[in-house]
Amino acid sequence: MVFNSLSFLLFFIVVFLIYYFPLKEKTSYQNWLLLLASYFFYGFAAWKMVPLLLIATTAFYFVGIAIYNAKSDKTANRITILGVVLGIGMLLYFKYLNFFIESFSTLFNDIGFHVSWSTFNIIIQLGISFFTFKLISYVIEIHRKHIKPCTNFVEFATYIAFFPTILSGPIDRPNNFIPQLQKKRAFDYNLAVDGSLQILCGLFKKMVIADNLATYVDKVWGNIDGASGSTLLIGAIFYSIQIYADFSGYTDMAIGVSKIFGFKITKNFDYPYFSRNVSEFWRKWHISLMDWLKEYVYISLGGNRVPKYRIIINTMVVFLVSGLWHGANWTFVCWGAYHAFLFIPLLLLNKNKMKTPVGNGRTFPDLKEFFQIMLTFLLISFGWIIFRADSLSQAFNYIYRLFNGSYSEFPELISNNFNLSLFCLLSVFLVAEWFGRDQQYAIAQLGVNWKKPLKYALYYAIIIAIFWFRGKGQEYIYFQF
Amino acid sequence: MHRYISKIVVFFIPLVILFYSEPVYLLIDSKYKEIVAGKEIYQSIKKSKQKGKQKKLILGDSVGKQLFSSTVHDDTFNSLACNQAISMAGHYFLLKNYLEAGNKIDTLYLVFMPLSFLNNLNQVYTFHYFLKPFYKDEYKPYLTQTVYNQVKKIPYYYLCREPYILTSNWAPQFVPDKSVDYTFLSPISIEYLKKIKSLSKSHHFKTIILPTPTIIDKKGIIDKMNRNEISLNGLSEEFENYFERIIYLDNNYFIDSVHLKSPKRYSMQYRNTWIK
Repeated sequence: MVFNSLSFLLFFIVVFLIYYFPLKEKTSYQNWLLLLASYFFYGFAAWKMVPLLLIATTAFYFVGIAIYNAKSDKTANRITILGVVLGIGMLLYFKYLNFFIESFSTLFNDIGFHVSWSTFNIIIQLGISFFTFKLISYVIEIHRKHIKPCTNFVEFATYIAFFPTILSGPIDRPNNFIPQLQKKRAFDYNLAVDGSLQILCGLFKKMVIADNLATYVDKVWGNIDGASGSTLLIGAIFYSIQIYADFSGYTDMAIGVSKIFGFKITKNFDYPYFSRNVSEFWRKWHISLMDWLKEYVYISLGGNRVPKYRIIINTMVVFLVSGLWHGANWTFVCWGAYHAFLFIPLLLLNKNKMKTPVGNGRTFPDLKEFFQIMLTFLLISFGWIIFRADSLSQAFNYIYRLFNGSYSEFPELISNNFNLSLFCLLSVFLVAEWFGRDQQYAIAQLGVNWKKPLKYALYYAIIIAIFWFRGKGQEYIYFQF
Repeated sequence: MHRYISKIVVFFIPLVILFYSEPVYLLIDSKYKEIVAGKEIYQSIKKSKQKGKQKKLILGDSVGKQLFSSTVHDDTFNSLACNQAISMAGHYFLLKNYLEAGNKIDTLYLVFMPLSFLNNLNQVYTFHYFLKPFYKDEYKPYLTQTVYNQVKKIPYYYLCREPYILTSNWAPQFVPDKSVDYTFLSPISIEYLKKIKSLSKSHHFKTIILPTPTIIDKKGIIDKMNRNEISLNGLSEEFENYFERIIYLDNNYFIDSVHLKSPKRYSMQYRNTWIK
């Protein structure tokens, strides 16, 4: 059940009506409803995954209480470590065990030791990377005494399984979300309207931009050997836009749905492709994950208060973990390493923090900013080639042909299948993103001060564009993580 | 909250009207039958309800349609060939319509490639090509339990007659269950071939099943088909020499490994040898 489906619409209407009519302002019953709805939503994707979610939630609920009630710091430390190991162990088993078996088996065979280890038949847990990180942050936050453990199991389980965010985030921190579950939630008209607009924005990004570009991108990746250099370049650029529209579109919908239920969720994207360097990009891309890694990995390893060589190592670790978090494949590890190599020089030169926002107070970026944005975008797009590839050899093949292929001909993607409407919509999307870059989502303030007919015409135009120009439905890219 | 709900409802009313104005117009005017993908099915249904003087009737899949077009008049035969996706159930309905329109025939030719008989309404095309034109009151009394069981496996099957869906090319995306225990004749093909056979007895016409030219790459699969499925179901007479008559051609003769580049050439051959 994905957000842009009829089944989700029906599910949402039912939950919404029960939530705000019979259960109006009855917080504990509303939480029960959200919990049941979340498990139904998660189980709808694959019911086999529900037991693990329930068991993990129960275990961490008690771990949290045990840390808080520990008689000494030493005991609290031990229980926290146990919790973290449990979370990482769960991830290692369900997501990475087969990857490590295969990798080591290949390695040993390559160096002359003949081994034949067989892999396990493990059900891949949907959304495991997202809810495990929530569980781990919960125990660490209790250990750091930033929060008290949640004594109400329903509240805790709702935080972990909250249906808008369980499959693809954002990875909300317990100190942001759990207090919202504990207070009375009356219907907030302005928040609901804001949420509805954000859902509309997300639907447009996903169904019009991402799904249409997916068709082109899949064509390029399906015929790397036969594609010209210019086609491969366009393919890489299109994929950069596709993955952004896909993931940030999903996030917009998740945040929008949460707002309608009265929750304010962590922002996950801040117009990352308008970044002037890779460091700025990482402050704007998948913010909740990068904040998590910074807080619980980078700072735990010493943060900036260690010698320079350790800072480099710590940064490397963060990016490798970030890569590996995406999946059990060497392509993700290499993608993480690639970004670390782009990021570390900026860190060492102290150029990792931009003093002013891009296009500060101006309608357009200045020439320097424009070239910085373009260069950063190309570097990021290059990284997405490694990310998108099924294997390293496929990535290298793509990159090899990208640099050695012909640029004398027009990209086949455009010359053979030119879609004027998609080109126009893509331009409108980029322009809207640029002018809405100060807002939480591009159209948040667009038309707010316009006269009603004009404002409604804009919203109708977006909806009509979604219906008429929507692409062939594609699965969300980040569901696999 | 009432304000929010009422605003949402009011906001969507013009949209609903806008979105439904086109489908309703297409539906009232039956124009959708001329513009949707698979329009040949609606053409065949329309033609199946008209009177014809020809004594020979052809039903077939899309390759059969290439050989014997349903839109070109011929004094010898009347062709209702359209698409394999409607399954043998759909083809049975075309025949039934034709006979109920008062037409009399002496021979029925079923021109199908061997793989077409595998259709058990377990394809992604079933929603658009079978459910939309045939899953309605007119044909429901003649659907077997097997058909109902298969139909219920298709997501949103109950929405197939909804105006917006019916008049557009929309069909749900799903992965059909392809695990089967037959190699040639699907249960639905068997049921409806038997129904065709009983119509042939009651209306006194002969049924001949002919293969379409087939790509050589498929020969391996076709050779492995269990031909006992024919005799076990009492269809030997209809399938007489079916496999022996298959003309295998290499890839150069096909547009897409199924459809012929020059169907006319084979059409003439069929007329001279089998359809006289």
